[in-house]
Amino acid sequence: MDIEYQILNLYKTKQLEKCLKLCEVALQEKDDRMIEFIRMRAMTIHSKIVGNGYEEVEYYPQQDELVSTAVAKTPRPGTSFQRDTKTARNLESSYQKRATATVRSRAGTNTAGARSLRTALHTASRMSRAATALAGGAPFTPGAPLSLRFLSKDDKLFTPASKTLFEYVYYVEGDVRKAMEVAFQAQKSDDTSDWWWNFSLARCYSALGMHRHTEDCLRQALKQNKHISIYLRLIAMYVGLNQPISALEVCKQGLSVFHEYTPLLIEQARINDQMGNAALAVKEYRMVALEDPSNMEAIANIAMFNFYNDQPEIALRYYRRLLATNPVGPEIYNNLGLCCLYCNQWDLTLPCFRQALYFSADPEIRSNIWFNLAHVALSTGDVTLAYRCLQVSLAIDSKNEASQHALQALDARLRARKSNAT
Amino acid sequence: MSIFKVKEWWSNENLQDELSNDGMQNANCLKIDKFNSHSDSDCIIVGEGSLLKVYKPIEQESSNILLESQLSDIVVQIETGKFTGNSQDRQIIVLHPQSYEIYQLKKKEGHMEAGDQNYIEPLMKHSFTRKADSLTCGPFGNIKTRDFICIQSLDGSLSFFDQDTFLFMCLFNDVIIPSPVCYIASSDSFVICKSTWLLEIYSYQQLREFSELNLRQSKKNIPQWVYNAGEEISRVQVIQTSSNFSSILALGERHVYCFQDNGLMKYMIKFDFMPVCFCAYLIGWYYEPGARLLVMVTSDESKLFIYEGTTLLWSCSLLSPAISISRCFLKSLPGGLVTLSSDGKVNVGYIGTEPDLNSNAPTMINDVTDPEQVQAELEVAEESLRNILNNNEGSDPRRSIVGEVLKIKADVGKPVQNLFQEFNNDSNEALHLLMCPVVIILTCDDPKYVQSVQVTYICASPFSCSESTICLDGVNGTEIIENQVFLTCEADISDSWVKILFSVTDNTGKIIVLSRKVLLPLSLYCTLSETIPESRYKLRIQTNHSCIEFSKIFTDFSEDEMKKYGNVLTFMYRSTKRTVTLKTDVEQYSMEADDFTEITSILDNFIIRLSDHYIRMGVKDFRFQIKLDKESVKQLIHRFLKCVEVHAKERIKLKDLEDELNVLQKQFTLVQKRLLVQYGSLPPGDCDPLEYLMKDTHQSLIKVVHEIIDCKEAVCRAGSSLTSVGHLIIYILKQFSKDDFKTMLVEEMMSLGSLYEHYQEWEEAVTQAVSYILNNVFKNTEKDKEKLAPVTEQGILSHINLKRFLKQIRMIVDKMFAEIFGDDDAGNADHKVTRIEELVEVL
Repeated sequence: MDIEYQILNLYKTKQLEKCLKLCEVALQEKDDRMIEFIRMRAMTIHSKIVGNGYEEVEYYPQQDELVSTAVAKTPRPGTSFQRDTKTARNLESSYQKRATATVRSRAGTNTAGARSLRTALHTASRMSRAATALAGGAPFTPGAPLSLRFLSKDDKLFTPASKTLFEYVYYVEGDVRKAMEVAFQAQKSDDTSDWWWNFSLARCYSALGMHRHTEDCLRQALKQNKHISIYLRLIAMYVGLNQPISALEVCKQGLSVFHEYTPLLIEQARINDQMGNAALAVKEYRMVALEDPSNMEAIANIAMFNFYNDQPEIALRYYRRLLATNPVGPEIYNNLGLCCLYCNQWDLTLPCFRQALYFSADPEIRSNIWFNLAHVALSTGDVTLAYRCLQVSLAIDSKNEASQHALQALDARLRARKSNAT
Repeated sequence: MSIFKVKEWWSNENLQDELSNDGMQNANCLKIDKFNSHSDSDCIIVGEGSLLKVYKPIEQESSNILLESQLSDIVVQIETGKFTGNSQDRQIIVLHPQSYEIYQLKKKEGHMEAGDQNYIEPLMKHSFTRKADSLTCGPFGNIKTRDFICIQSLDGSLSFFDQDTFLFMCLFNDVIIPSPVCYIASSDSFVICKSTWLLEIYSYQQLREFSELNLRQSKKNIPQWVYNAGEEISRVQVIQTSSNFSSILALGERHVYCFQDNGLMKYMIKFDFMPVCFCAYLIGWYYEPGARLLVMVTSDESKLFIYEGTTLLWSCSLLSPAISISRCFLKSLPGGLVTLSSDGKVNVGYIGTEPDLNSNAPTMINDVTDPEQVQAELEVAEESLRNILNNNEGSDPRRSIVGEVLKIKADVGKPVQNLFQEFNNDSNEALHLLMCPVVIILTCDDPKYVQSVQVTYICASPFSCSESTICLDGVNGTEIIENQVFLTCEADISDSWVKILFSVTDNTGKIIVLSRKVLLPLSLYCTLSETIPESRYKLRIQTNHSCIEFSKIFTDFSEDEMKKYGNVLTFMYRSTKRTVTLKTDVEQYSMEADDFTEITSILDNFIIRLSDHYIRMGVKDFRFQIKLDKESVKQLIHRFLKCVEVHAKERIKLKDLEDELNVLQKQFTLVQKRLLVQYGSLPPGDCDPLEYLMKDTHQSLIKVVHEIIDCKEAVCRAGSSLTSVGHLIIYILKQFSKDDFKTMLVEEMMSLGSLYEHYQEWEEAVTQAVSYILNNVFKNTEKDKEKLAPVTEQGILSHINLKRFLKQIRMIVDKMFAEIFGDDDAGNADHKVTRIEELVEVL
């Protein structure tokens, strides 16, 4: 069988690693444009998966205070992600909230891990991009395919190849500046306007932290084509800029085009949740769960809402469903344990926590589990045990603020009791 | 994620070879269709390499394979249709890289026991030159009698054939990697995916014209409609969904798009997984109004998702990763699921509803335990915990073992001039050239008790060690460690001790800390100099013995040198070049200096040597008394407060500089960013002003950094003076005070040891302690408490807080001394008022 057919088969069935290996072999023997492009595509898809290029929504807070493109420092009340903690209900349940600190981890186990991994990767790539952008007109890296080096903008192949080139430069080489050059050239040579170039430029601008340009490009792209990715990017950008009201507005626009569309709904729910509209958020999470019953995040959030809504039995049912459908992890057992505690299922409480401890590796989570165990001990009236649990919690992670406060409170109470006794 | 799994019904696993090559299996080589010769159920046609196999699964038994035939070349795609006009049955077309062949599946009645015999009869074969990638077939141009063939070659050109006749060819110059091409029967047009990631729809008519135009190298051909997907399309499927319309489904990298054949988008689904293949099918007939269009998608993690519109109907896991998926209607399994895996395995399964609950959850750890046993274990644990908490030295015999096993001797040697650089006699340079070796001898009789030892040297600024920590992995026999101590800057010397900490990890992993102290020789930091007649401050030391000769105690310096000066010694500090004079009178010694900061270390040193001397002589009842008149005490206190103030001021200056640095740094980054944008914009903007700004900011940055370095040194110097005067006060308090506990409290409050190199946050550390002492030890009145409490919303270094802080310290020190001198407070009170005012002015 010819090697080019093998490569094509592997590429079309998404067996990328094997495909890349064969491409190396094939390109050593002869230069073939198609194989080179397949290799470029395969590398691009690879790094897109690793760098989470497919996720349009990426949250990272804007930190640079001096960037003039940022928004006003003092937002009007209710327009930004600042929880209003003055309501009576929150004050009352603040202790309880601390008790279940790990419940808050978004979407249970799987995505939480993926998310943290992604943010780590993202910041890294962002840094490297900034570095390469500085290098200006540096020559092409030696690893770049031949046709990339010899393809000039006058070539008749430039138009069909430009998108592949762009993605390759952006994701594999991580060179935003060069990618933008490709984009500008392509826009120039293409007489019809293409939403994708605007969208891609927005990607570049947001990687460079230029939010105003990003917004312009995305808005223009949206005029040309109502693609779901544009809506998601716009939302992510507004969330990044701490403008939840605008983000919600975009959600609404998107939902008028794509009715009851899960990714949009889930964004809306996240934003509402972060703004403190728990009831609204849970309504939207319910809609998501109806559309996509396998959505972990939605179910985890509904369960959490029920838990804080004093319906631990219902939360328990949701968590058990998550346990059945998802890979197990410490968070889920921890939450199950807490639900059992509040449902008075004493026989299951401790085994759940034991299981949670068995699965946990992260010191922060372990510390939180021990904190919750202290809570269990307190509710059985065993102050000494609670005291010890808190000490273990702090021994594992000394930065656990909840444990510190609780230990302090417990200490004060014990001392008061002692002084009363004497 | 789902709790469900596809149930396996039939598989060709046993019929497959073990060995399979990467990339041998083409995803287009799976076709399911019904033939006249086997009308009772669907046949599954699979091509693997150059093998063509036809299966008709009935049950899991051996005779499911209808035929297996070796063809002349590898199979690129298999399709079925009616390619010759005269045939009744459906025919199989097999695409090879440079030819296609059309076959008919036939069945021959066999002899008695061999059963029926199946074979394929070749009908026609056609060869071409361009290498083929895929084919699509159908009644192009609405010809009812037979199907035409369209073959896409690797360079993206389309060739059209009728039976074995070449019709025409279309060339496209915007295809690099061949993408799917599909025929839409209801509108007689083609979906063509391009490398520009567009979906273009051309009618058959248009393509035919296009081919002729292309020969004449003429103008562009405009497609019927275009959709810009913005990602590479990997599969396309067309399915008739109503009597007039078809639906076009296209699978991208992360999305599936669904259109009507007139270009109207029906919906779009975004996946959060990587889709590999999909299959759209109808439930019901297309001419019925209630027909439902369902889409099955498989992911690269071998999961199967079934959508209706955007709603997820079902998700389950497949048994093996699939590269192609389809539906089949078998005799005993209507609506089965056929999947083809990359190693040529074909599975027929169905979506089972028997959930596999908690399959991934391991069993709970819930072992039954005996409560009494647990209680006993708990008691043992409690007991050992209590022992540790009580921290009984006696209960832990190991501590003494380590103390006994490890013998430590620490000593200082004679200061050595670093001869290597001696000629460079610049005073500043010469400071750190004088080094004093500190030698530690560790002896361990039984090395198995000690795991590791870490030696840490602590010496007060301006002294410094060449190595601050030394780690040893185990001590075997005797270890000798030599370290050098030297002066680093021109600051006052407050403490001439070097503290050495030994953190010993014993064989059980327990850490024990032992410590030793050594006194640095005077000659390291002082020289003898000419006598200076009169000094401002005097201190007298009275002993119960008559004075001895200095040469007996100051052994650092040579006898001759001592003789030269007799009973009046003047020391000059190497660091500050300031002097202290030590004299003997008949019964008492006296010390004179221009400033209190000089006195501390010499006094300390002198008294230790004096006591040492008497101990060596065997005199047991040696006592001494420091005499200081009241006026000097006042001056001493004033000097101390002055030191505190200077220190605080230097720190404020440092903080201002650091703030400035912060702002400058941010400005620098901002300018850089702006510049970057300018560089990157097309056409490049004017960069000169920004470059100038960047350079200017850089200059200021460098200037501020230098200032900060200087200021840090100044802070350290001020800290040293503060420490030395503070030590002197404590020293005197210790001599006089009757209330040892109070003295100790004040000493702890001052926490002079906390000033250490770059850690200079002394004021913050002391503030809390000061208020505590004032309120609880000296029983301040409520009014004073309020008046002197630090303003919480401002930092400790703010003007008002600093003023209050100084007042508080003054009060404490005054009270301490007032207790000593006891009798006349009245005079003191007057002075207090004036002094405070004076200080306020200074601030």
